[in-house]
Amino acid sequence: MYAPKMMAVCMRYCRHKAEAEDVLQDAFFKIFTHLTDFEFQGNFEGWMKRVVINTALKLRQRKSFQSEIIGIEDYQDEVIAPEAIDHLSEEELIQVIAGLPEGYKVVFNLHAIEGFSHKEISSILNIEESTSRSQLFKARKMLQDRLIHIYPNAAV
Amino acid sequence: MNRLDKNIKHKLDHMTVPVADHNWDKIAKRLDGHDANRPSFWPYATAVSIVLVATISALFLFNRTVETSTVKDKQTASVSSPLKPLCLDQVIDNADQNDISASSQNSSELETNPLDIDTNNSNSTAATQIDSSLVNNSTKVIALNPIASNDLINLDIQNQSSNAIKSNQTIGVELRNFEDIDPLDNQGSIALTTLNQLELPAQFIKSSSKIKKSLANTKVKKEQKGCPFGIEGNSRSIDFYMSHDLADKKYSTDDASLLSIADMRKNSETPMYSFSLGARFGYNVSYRWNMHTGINFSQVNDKFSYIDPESNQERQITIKDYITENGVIVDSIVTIETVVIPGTVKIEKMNKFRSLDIPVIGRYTILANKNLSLSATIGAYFNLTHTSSGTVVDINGKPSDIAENKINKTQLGVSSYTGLSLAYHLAGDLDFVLEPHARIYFDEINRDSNPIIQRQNIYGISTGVRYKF
Repeated sequence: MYAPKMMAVCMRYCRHKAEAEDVLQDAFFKIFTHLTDFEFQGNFEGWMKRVVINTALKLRQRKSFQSEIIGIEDYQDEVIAPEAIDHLSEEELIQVIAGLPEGYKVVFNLHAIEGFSHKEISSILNIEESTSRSQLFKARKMLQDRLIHIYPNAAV
Repeated sequence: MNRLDKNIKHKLDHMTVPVADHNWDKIAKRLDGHDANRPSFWPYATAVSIVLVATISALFLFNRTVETSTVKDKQTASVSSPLKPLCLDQVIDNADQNDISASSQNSSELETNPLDIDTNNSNSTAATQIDSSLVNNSTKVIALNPIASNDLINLDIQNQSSNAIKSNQTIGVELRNFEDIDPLDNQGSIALTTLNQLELPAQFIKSSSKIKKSLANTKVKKEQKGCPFGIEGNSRSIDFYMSHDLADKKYSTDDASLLSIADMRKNSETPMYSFSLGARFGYNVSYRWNMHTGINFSQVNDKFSYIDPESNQERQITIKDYITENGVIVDSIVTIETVVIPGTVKIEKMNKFRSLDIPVIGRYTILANKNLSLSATIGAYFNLTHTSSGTVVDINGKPSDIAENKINKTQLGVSSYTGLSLAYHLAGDLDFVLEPHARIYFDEINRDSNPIIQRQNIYGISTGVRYKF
């Protein structure tokens, strides 16, 4: 019942489907074995989602991805119309996000989609708040760049 | 959050991706293997502690340093043969040394026979130290010259030579007489023979007749208290001990349809700290052998944890969604959801299994000196009675009271006992005893009517005191 939604969450944090399946298996194993830890405070789906995200982040730490340093000057200062997203299917959007460098992808997912603040992200990922902000900025820039590449008409 | 972020979030928040079936197979396998084959570390801990005890004992017992500690009382020492370890006298302090020198100077005979040994006189004017090499080859004697008390001679009996050793070291041990050398003992006779043939420096020894006399007049010495080696039929002890145990349980069944129930038993019963305590009376039956018997009470504990798969719980949870505009909360929506959580009622209970046994154990002393002894123990425990209390899963997979449903036996038969015992001499007739051990049960715990077969072995480390009398 919750598995397809959780799989979509995994896809956003992982580089490819195989990795997402690994994260899903680990997460559900933890969910089943720690079911009694759910203390009925809040949404059960939300609790599961947190387990999945934490599992994805731990996998990321284990694999020790190197942050790719890309200078902000590499990006054109273009803005795309937010409605451009509507032209993309969910799978295409997932692929665009999955194609982001690891650090950008995680921060973007946590802030833009999960709704964590930069303070919370800095605590989760053990980075500075300013790093979180700059990573998000760069993630957005890179997303815009890729979306324009897919849909040149989307540029404003 | 800007509009691009919001649109992305809106698109992806409710996105679903189908999950391939093989993922559930892998999750199921991991769940099945979860804790099912938790290896018991206790056998390894027991083996490690046995090796540790043996290593520490060997380090102590093979240490050949001459002791220089002093105590007030003098005890009669016994000479070691290679087959018998040394029980050395503790001390002579400087004052005693002077007494010996002074008394020897008062005797003209003793001046010419400085190594005379008066076996009837506890203040013997001659003292001979047997160094530790005697234990191995019985061919060396270091003799203390009581007149010039810091002078020693080293008698190499086998090579029939001697040489003087100058030493300012106070000799920590003193041998009072040679009574314990058995003339029939091979090494003793060698000592006797070579002393006869020995040409000793004149200034030290002119006659070894008294030494030969005492060598010839050997008799079995009475057991020296505190000496770990006893004399046949003349040494008793009583041990009081407590053991810290862990039980290793195994479950099986001859009925293939009940294999899952056997698994449930294994997964739902977790061994916890267990203990046993008792008293053992010991009797020395030969030089190295002691027999022990007494009474032992043991309690094996385990924790029963069970999640009832049919116990659905319905919970109502309240969700509040906030609507914000430009970062300001403008409204909120409250919804109430009913969540059904399957299998969340957990039953946890402590199970207790109590036994009363009569141990019959043989203890073989491997190594010993005056402070430490290392022994191997082997024997059997004969069970008098066994009681069980608590809950286990029955053949229907439901929690079931052990006592009410008569699941276990009330008498467990015989179990074997093996261990390694390290005794440290505390004071007087009291030893501290450390004994890692293993008990293997030959018979199953369950009644014959119960198709789930349960066997257990108990591994533990016991600590206690031994009083010898």
